[in-house]
Amino acid sequence: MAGERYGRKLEHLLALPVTRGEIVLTKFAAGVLTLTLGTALGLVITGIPVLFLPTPPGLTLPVVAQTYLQWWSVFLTVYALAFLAGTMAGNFRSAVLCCAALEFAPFCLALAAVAVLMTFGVDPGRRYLWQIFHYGQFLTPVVLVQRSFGWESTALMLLTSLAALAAAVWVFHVAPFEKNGEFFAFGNSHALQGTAFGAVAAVVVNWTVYRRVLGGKPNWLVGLAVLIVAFAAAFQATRFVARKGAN
Amino acid sequence: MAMAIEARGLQKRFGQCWVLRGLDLKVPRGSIYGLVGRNGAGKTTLLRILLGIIWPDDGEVFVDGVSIGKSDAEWKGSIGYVPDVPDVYYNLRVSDFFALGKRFYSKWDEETMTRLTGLLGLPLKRRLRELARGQRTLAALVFAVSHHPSYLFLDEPTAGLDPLVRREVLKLVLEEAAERGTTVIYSTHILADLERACDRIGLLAGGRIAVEKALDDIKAGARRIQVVWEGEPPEDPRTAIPAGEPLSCLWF
Repeated sequence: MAGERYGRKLEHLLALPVTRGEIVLTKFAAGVLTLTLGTALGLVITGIPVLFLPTPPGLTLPVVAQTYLQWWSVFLTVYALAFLAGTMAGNFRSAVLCCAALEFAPFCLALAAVAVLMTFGVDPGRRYLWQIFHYGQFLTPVVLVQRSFGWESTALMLLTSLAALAAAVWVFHVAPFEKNGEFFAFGNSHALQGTAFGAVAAVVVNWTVYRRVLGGKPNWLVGLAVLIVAFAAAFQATRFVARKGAN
Repeated sequence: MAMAIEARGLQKRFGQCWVLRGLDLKVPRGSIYGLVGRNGAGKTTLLRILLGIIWPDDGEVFVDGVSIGKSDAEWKGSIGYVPDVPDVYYNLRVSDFFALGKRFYSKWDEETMTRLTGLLGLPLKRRLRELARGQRTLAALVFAVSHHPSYLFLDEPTAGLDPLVRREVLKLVLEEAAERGTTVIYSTHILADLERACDRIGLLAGGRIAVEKALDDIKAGARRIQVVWEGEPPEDPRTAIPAGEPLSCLWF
């Protein structure tokens, strides 16, 4: 959708007698249908041997079906978040960034919080920091693929998907649909890229400086300076690259 | 005179760049309104605002006296639109493209579509991506007029087309306007097209409609004077113009 918007292919569609809600829901439904059919096909292919061939104890059709349902819910969530990113971003590159931010930002924020708290010497025993890191993982739907979770996670994923879809419909309705990567709420894509790279660079540099250079002896003033300098440098570098690209 | 489309105080900026600065526009019903201006003057932006594709930062658009606001769909059933870049639905066959129109528009006229397709020689079985740019424009035009819209928006539809295709496009637009009283807003750089098709011209400059006149009035106000000198021309050629001639533009 972001690619269509950037290439101005969305314009003709928007000039047709359909509401923006209808456009976005139809596009979403097409993706969900593909996802559902793919999962159902997988279930059939896996289910036939389970039904008719000798299998290890405990591997029954309901167990396989539950696994597929959970995977389907995880992929649905990932898709819904990516779809939301597509409605917000003004071009493909911004959409990818925004999608990555939606999928991984909560975990990255948890990681950043751990890094900052370590820098400031909070919780020297790292008992609570480890807990933040541990639970932060569960904020990213992709992590769920690697683990075994119950029905709660499926319900949570479905709720997240619905919330993402509702947000996408709203964003698509209010979005200005202008070229050059305008976001509806975040300024433009270059600023978002700068912020994303700046944040990542700040965390990485800060962590590296303390773990490798200063030997893990934190000083909060130095830590703050490292964060600011790294962030500003990455932000400016991104803007410079973006301007060069624009010219 | 009843206004089909009216814009009041439209303002629009992209980042720090103001494109429209309090633009007012009045398009009479049944007229073919030519929108001219330099590259980047804001013609496409204005059309996109009038179509409700993007929204102005300030100002309002009225269609038949009713503000369109941010409403969707309803009034779009009565408009036809040909974008300057007709790169839509690349993978569709021409026939599927028109089938799409049939689904969207309740007033879709299959007979008109068939007649125009045959007249313009559009290959129904071929995909849009396989067509030349001119053919894609023609397909977009057939799509736009086959439901007999009350308002037709054309964004530089003849730019880059060969003279024959240009003539076909203009002919189609003129026919539609003459037979059904369609109100047309026609954005173009090509002055010959304006002269041939439009009855009213709006010049977009500085984010506003700088000049808006009937084509006949513009023609009546324009004079060409040919001056021949014996020997070297004077340093300031303006001295050769008879006194009392009102001048707004002078070219040498």
